[in-house]
Amino acid sequence: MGQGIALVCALSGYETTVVDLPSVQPRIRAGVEKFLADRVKKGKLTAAGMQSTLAAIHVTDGMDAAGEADWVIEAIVEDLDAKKKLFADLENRVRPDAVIATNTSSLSVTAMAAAMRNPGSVVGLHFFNPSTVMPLVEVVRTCWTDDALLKKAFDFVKSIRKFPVLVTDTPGFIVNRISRSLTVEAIKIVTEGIATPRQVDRIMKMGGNFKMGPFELIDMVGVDINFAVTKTIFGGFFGEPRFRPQVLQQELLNAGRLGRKTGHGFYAYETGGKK
Amino acid sequence: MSATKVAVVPGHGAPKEHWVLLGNEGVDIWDPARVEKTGALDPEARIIFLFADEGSAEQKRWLAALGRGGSRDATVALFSPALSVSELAMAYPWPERVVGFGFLEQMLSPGNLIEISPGLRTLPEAVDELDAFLKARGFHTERIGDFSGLVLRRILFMIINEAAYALWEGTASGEDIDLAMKLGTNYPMGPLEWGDAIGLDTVYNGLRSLHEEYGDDRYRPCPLIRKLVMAGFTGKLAGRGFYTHNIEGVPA
Repeated sequence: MGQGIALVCALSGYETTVVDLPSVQPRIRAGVEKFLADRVKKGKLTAAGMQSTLAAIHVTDGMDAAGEADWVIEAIVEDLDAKKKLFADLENRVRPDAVIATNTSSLSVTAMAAAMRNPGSVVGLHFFNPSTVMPLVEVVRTCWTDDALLKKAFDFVKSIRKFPVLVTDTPGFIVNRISRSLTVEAIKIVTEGIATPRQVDRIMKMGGNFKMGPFELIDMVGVDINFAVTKTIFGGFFGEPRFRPQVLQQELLNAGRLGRKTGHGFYAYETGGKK
Repeated sequence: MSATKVAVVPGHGAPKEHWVLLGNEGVDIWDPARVEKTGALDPEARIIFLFADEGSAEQKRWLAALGRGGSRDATVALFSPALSVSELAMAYPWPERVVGFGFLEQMLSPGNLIEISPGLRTLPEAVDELDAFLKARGFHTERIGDFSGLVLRRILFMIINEAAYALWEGTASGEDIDLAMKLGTNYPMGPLEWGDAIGLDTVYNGLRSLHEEYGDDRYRPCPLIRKLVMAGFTGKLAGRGFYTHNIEGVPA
């Protein structure tokens, strides 16, 4: 996800540094080039635009760039301890007026901010996958986020040509939380034998004008990811029954049917991804 | 068009879903007040469409009324069954003729999909008759199992309920909730504007029915929806729901 966010920033004219392990740097560079070359091929970017964007993206494993940055956007593994450690380290490196943002989708921004001397310098910027395409960013505020920082965050999100919405730090924010009602209720309906996944998807698309059916969506995102997010939100709301996960999610996980990436989830996929 | 004799009982004060589904031609619209008093108005009617989504008690009352003077040959198509069709149909003298069905009038146009749901006693002939009738009108049909709310309404009402909880708890503004769901996950409408379009009374009744059927607090309606409904702010038609609407029904 970090790569996509970096591309979005660089395409909007920001000097952008991607910090990652040396072992993955070649993959990031190749990914960035491929993405930009595709854009040029589709006529959405000029060759000169590609060159200037490439020149604006630096890939390194050193944290030195953090000392010069106006914005530091964290997109590491979804592990609260790892993020807290990173933030504590970042706080010693960044300029006092820099903003530290987390792209977490399911962890508490407040808990990360609380690990810092100046928790008011932290804000959530939750991008959606694929971040180069999806236009939304959830701007997550904690009890320490003041209006000046929020304005800065909104201006920044608009400057990278995304639409910001403001959300108070709560489990799942807006989109992941409300999406539970689509995916988990759909799984519950299948568990109860009321309809098959294929039927539910048809009904939601042809009766409700949804672009994707819930089961196509879960298989694309990953059954394991969908289940993990459900469990996090369920736990975050202390067992609120609206978020209760379903046994079928655990069963698919046990069976290794994780969706498109394993060739089988709620649907079976032929090679090539067609179900 | 087949010469099937079709009657519609529109219920009281319900939106005009039947126009979307059936149009006016060749359809006999029965006066609900007369049906309440005297029962079925024409024993020759082959399919009687009953639109009354005020909840299970209302649907049972209408089915009982239709049983007076009705015929055991007519198929009763019950729109948006509040509980299982199996349970509701017992209010009708011939439960084997009752079939549930559902769609969303905001989304329905020819070629769209209609859910059909038979109860435990429903005869296959009754299901086939309704299915063939809807297909002849150009709709796709999907035969599903029998529980409250069918599939589309049940999932959609849960989405609207969750959006209402998020709004009520101050997680985000209504505008931001709707924008987030449209841009972050490609919903065709924001959940709150969708709720206003459907009618919050319909959403509230649907959630209460699910809560009644399952006895699971997962389905309890958000108190904000209840408050709005009780205050008469039922959405677009009322001019105010989650949003304030101008005369054309557009959020002001």
